[in-house]
Amino acid sequence: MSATLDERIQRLEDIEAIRRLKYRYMSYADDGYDADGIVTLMTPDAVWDGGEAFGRQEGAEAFGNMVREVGKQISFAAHLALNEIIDVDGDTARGQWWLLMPCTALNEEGKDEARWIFASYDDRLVKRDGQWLFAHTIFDVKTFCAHKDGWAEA
Amino acid sequence: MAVSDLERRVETLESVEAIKRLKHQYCAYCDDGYDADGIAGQFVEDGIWDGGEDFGRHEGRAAIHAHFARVSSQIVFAGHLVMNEIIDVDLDNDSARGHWWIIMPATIMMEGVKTAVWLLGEYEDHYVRRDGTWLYQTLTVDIHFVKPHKDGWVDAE
Repeated sequence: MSATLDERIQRLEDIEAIRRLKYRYMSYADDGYDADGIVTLMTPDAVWDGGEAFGRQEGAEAFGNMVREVGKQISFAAHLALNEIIDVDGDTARGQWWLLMPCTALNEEGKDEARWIFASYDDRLVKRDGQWLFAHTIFDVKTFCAHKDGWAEA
Repeated sequence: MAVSDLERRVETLESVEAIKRLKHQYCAYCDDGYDADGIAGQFVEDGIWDGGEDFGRHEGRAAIHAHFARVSSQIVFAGHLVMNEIIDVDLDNDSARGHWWIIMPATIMMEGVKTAVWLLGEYEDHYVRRDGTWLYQTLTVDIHFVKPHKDGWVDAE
């Protein structure tokens, strides 16, 4: 039997809520890597897997600690999230995104440098008490390069 | 059977959402080494992909497939990042229009050398709904520039 109107509207609302969750995550990151803020968007046992570049963090506390460390390295960042593909299935969902991020980061010599990150996110989400939260994230960095060098050799 | 006003409003929102997903999935196929099967399957049989003077006009699924099978050898890496969508849905005719911007960091072969470039362009899309699924009837991309990252874009037309 096809979905009721109520179910169809719920699905649209869930997609919009997941977009908003992602944008809030990005906003906390842009705001000086606000670790206390960002961990409120994930389940306590959430896994954040940043691969070789950022490591695998198990639990919101571990992730928050990593965010604080990253904040010491990156003094400015605009986390631009794009091209979302969101699939909702009841109280669970998957969200795939692109990240385009111009930033100012410390280079190997400890000096500020204009850099770009190109990356993708693959998120698994759960809805708890009506709130969508991140449960598992794979963050795949394609490029983290100095602006002056470009990314051809990445 | 008469369809309620509320039902049509919901269907319009669902269609806009489905068209965003279609576009983002198209971009994902392109980023994934120009998956020609995936891309061609998003067009109706007589669909058209029109890249103008730069990339040519390709009519029909088979021609679109052949185009994307070729292009992957020239583009090593690409992030098709789309935004600023204006989507108009015409439910009565199972038809819709979409306008998008694209900014795309890419690595392309220029005279045999891997080169970091930015592409900037605009899409004009015509979508149709077949058996409940939104597909491309026509995708037209107007490329403003493809410029090496190191040069910037002041000299672009």
